[in-house]
Amino acid sequence: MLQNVVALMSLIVFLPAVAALVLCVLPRGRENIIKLVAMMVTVVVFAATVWIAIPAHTVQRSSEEPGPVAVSVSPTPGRFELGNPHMQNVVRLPWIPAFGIEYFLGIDGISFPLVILTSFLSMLAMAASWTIDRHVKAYCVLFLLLETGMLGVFMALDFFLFYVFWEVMLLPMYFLIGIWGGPRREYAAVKFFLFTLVGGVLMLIALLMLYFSSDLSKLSQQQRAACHIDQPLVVSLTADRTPQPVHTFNMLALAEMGQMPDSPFDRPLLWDKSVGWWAFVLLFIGFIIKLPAVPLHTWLPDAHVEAPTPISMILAGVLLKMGGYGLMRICYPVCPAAAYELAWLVCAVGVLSMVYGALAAMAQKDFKRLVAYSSVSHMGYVLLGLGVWSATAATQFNTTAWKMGMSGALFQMIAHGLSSAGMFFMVGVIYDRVHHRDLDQFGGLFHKMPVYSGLSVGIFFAALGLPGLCGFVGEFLVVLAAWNYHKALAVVAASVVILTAGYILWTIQRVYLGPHYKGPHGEQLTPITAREVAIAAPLLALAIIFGVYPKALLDYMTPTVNHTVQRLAEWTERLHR
Amino acid sequence: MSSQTIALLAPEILLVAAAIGILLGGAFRPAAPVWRAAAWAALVAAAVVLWRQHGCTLADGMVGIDGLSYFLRWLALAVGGALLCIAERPSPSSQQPEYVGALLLAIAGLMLVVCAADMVLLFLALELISIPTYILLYLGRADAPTQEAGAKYFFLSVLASAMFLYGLCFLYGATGTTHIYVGTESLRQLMDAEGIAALTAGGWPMTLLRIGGGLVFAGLGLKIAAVPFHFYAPDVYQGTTNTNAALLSVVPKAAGLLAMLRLLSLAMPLELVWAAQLWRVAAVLAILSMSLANVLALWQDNLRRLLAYSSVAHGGYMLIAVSVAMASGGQSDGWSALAALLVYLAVYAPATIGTFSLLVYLGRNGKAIETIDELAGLGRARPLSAAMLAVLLLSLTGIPPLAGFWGKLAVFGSAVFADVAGQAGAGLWFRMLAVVGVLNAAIAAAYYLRIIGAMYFRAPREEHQPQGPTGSWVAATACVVLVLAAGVYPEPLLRAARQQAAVVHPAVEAAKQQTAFEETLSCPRPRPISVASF
Repeated sequence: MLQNVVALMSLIVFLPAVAALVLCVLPRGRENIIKLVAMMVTVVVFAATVWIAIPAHTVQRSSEEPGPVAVSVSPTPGRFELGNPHMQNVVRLPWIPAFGIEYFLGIDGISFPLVILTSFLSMLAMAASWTIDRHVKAYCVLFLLLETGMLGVFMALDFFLFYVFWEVMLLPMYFLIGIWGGPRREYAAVKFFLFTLVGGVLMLIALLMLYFSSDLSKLSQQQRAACHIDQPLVVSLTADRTPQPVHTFNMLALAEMGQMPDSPFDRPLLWDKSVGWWAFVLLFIGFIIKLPAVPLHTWLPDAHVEAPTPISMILAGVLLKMGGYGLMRICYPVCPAAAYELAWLVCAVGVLSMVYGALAAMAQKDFKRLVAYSSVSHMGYVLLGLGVWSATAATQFNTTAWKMGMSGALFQMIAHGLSSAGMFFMVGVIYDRVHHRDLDQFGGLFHKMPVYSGLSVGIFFAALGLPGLCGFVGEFLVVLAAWNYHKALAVVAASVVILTAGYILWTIQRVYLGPHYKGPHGEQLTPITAREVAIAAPLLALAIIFGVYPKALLDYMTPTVNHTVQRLAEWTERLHR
Repeated sequence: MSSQTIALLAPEILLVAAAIGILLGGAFRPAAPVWRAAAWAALVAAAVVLWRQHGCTLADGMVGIDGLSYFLRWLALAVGGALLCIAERPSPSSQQPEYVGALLLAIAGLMLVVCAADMVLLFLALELISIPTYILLYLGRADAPTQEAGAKYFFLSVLASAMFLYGLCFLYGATGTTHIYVGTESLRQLMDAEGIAALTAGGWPMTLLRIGGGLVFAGLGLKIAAVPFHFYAPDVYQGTTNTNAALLSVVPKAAGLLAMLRLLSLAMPLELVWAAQLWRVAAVLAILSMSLANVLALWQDNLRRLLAYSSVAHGGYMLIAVSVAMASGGQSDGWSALAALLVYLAVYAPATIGTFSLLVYLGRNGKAIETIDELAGLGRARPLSAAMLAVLLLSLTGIPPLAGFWGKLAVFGSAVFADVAGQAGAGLWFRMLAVVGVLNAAIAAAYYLRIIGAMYFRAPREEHQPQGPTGSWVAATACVVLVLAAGVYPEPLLRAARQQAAVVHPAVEAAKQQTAFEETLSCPRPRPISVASF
C-alpha cells in the first residue's frame, strides 16, 4: 500500500514534467494535439488531487473527554484524513546521501489546500492558454515544468528539495514571461528572475545555517518518529570522543528543534542575535519578495502587466502563495523565537502592504496593473494574519485569536488565488478583444457582453470582500484576530476594505457601466465564448461556495493550523515561565 | 626517484613524449593528419595508465601523489580531450602539429602541478603550462589583436612567474629546504618544541612566511586572474580564439588554485596558517574577484570579454573554498572545502569549455561569434544549439538542478560549515564570504540572462548557419550531457570528490596523526613507498 502512496504523490508532482519531456519529442505543427495533451495532463493531476481530497473518514482527536472515537473501519491510503493535524501521504526516499538530502513529500492541512488550488488553477490556466498561437510546443513544455515546480514546493518536506523546486519554477516562468509577454517583456522577465533569485539565495544561506546548527540526536526517539525518521540514528564520534551532530534538512525535524527548550538554533551567531533570528530574517526577506510585500513588491506589477493572461493567473493565483506558505511552514515553526520577537515587523509590513497596495491600485490607469496592486494589498492580510501573535502572557496564552488569524491568512491565500486568477482572466478576455487595457477607455461593457460582465462583477466583488463571497471570510478572520492583538492595526486593516471597495467599485463603474464603450476596436466586443465561461464560471462558483460555506475549506485547514498555533503558544508559555 | 615514481608519473611522461614526438615530426610532415590522432592516442593511453593507479599514493622526493592529484589529473585529461576536440585549425593549417603538441604539454603541466611536492618541480610544472600557452596564443590567429593578446599575456605571465619564484625564495628562507613538506615539518617541529612564539617572536620565519605567502598569492593570483591581478584577462580573452579562451579559463586556474593550497595550506601546521593570517588574503581576493568581476561583466557586449569576467568571478568562488581550506585545515566531512573545490572545478570546467566550444561551433564564415547581438534569435534559428548554450550558462549561474548549482552549494556550504573555532573572527568572515558569494551569484544571473534573453526574446538578425568544426559540437554535447547528468544525480561526483579530498598527502597525514586515514585509503595493491625518502 505504501508503494501506492509513493506513486500517487510522485505522479502529482512529476507527471507534468514527464509529459513535458514527451511533448519535447512530439513533432511540431500538431498544435492542437499538443495543447490537448497538456490539458489532459493538468486534468489528470487535478483529478488526482481531488481524489485525495474526498474525505476518507473522520477522526475526532480534538475531543477531550473520554469516549468512543469515531474511526471508520477501512481507511483508504492516500485519501486525505480530515481532522488529522499531522503530515499525511508521506513519501521519504534518499536522493543525495552525500549531503543528506532526501526525496521527502507529504501533505497536511496547510499545504493540501494550496496543492489543490495549484492543480485547479493550472487546469484553468491551460484552458485559458488556448489562444496562445506562437511556439505552442515550447509554451506547453514550459507550462508543465512550471506546474511540477509549483506542486513540488507545496509538497516538499525536505528543506533542500523545497529550495530546488523553488528555483526550478523560476526558469519556466522567466521564459513564459519573456517569450510570450507584452512589449516590455524582457525587462519584466529579468526583473522577476533577479528578484526571486535574490530571495532564493538568501533562503539558501538560511537553509545552510539551519542545517549546520541542527542536530537530530537532540530529539527523542518519539520526536524523530513524528518527523518520519524511523531508522536508528548513527552518531559518529570525533577524535576526542564527543558525538558529532547529525545534521538534517527535514523540515519537520527542524521545526521540532526550533521549538524545543534549549534549541540548537538559539546559539548566538552575530551581534548578539541567534542562528534562528538570522535565519528568520533571511527567510522572511526571501518569502516577502515572493509574497510580495512592500517595499519588495516592485517586480510584481511589471511581471503581471507583461505576462500573457494564463501566466498572470498562475503568477497571482499560485506563485504569490508560495511566500505565505513558506512563512507558515518554515519561518514560524522553525524560528519561533525570532518570529515572536519580530511579530511587530511582520504585522507592520503586512499593514503597510495593504494600505500601499490599495492606494497604488487606486492610482492605476492600466487594468492589469490595478489588479496587480490589488494583489499586493490582499496579500498584506496574509502577513497580518500570521503576525498577530496574540498568545502572550497578557492573554494567558489564549490561542483563539491567533488561530483565527492564521486560519484567516490561509483562507485568504486560497480566496485570493481564486479571485485574482479570475480577475486576471477577465482582464485577459477583454484585452483579447480590444487590445488595450486603459481603464479610461472602457465603459458600457454590460450592454455588449452581459454574461462576461456579470461574471466579472461577481469575481471583483469576491476580491472586494463582500460578505457571502470568499474574500470576506479571510479578511474578516484576520481583522478579528488583529483586534485582539492591537486595536490600531485592526482599525487600519478594516479601513483598507474601504479603499478596496473604492478602487474596485470605481473600476466596475469605469469598465462595465456607463452608456457606451469609449475605446478603440469597439466592433470586436463579441460576447464571451463557451470556453471562457467554462474558465470563469468555476472560479466564481467556488468563490460563492467558500463565501457561503467556508467550513468546506476550513475543515481541511483548521486541524493543522490549530495544532501549529497550539504548539507555538506552548512554546511561548515555556518562554515566559 | 624510484621506478615506482616513474610508473606513477607514466601518464605525464607519455603526454610529454607524445608532444615532443609530434612537435619534432611536425617539422618534417606539417600537414599530416596523423598528429591529431597521435595526440588522441597519447591522451587515451595516459587515461588507461591513470585508471590503473586508482587509490595509490606516493611521497617520494619531489613528487607527491594523493587523492587531490588523482582527481585533478583526471580533470586535466578530460579538459585535454575536450580542447583537442574543439581545437580550431590555426589559420595556416600547417601549424596543426605545433598546436596539438603545445596543448598536450600544457595538459601535462597541469597534471604535474598537482603532483608536485617540491617548490622547484611546482615552479617548473607551472612554466610547463605557461610556455606552451604563449605558443598557443600566437598560433590562434594572425591579426593585430591576437598579437596584442599574446604579448600582453606573455609579459604578465613572466612577471607572475618572477613574483612566484621570488615568493618561493622567501619560503625557502623560512624553512631551509625546497621540499614543501619537509620544510613545513621542520617548522612544525620547531613550533612543537618551543611553541608558536618561537616563530613569531624572533620574527624571522613568520616574516619570511608572510612576505613569501604574499608574493605567492600575487604570482598565482595572476595565473588564476584574481582581482586585482585580473586586468589582462578581458583583453587577452577578447583578442584570442575561443579555444584558447577555454584553455585559459580552466587550466591555469586549476593549477594556480592547487599550487596555492599546496604551498600555503596543505603542508602547513594549522596554527601557523592562523598565525600568518594567510587565509584572510585568500578571502579578500575572493570577495574582490567575485564582486568586481560580476559587476564589470554586466556592462560587456563582447562575449569573450563577458566570459573573461565570468571566469574571474568563478575564480573568486573557488578562492572561498581555498580560504576555508586554509583556515580549517581541510575537514574530512562531506562539506570539506577541499572536496568543494574539486566539485566546483569539475562542474565549472565542462560548463565553461562547453560554452566556448558552442561559440566556436556557431561561428560563421570562419569568423567566431563576437558579441551578444550576434546570438539574437538563436532560439528560433538553431533551437538545439540555443538550448545547449542556455543549459551551460544556467549551470554557470548555478540554477538547480544543473551541475553548477552543486558546485556553488558545496563551496558556500563549506564556508558556512567551516569549523574554525580556534581562530577568532574566522567564522564571521566565512559566513560573510558565503553571503557575498550568494549575492554575487544573483548578480551574475543578470549577465548570463542577457545572453539567454538575446537568444530567446529577440528576433534573429540573419540566418545562422554554423560552420564550425564538428568536433566543437561533439565537445559541447559532451559538456551539456555532463552538466545535466551531474545536475540531476550529483551523488557520484560528490562522493568521488569527498573520497579523493580525504586522501591528502601521506606526509601531511602522518604529521597530523589522523587515525581515520587507514580507513579512507583503499589501495588495491600493497601501498607503494609512502615513507618519504627525504
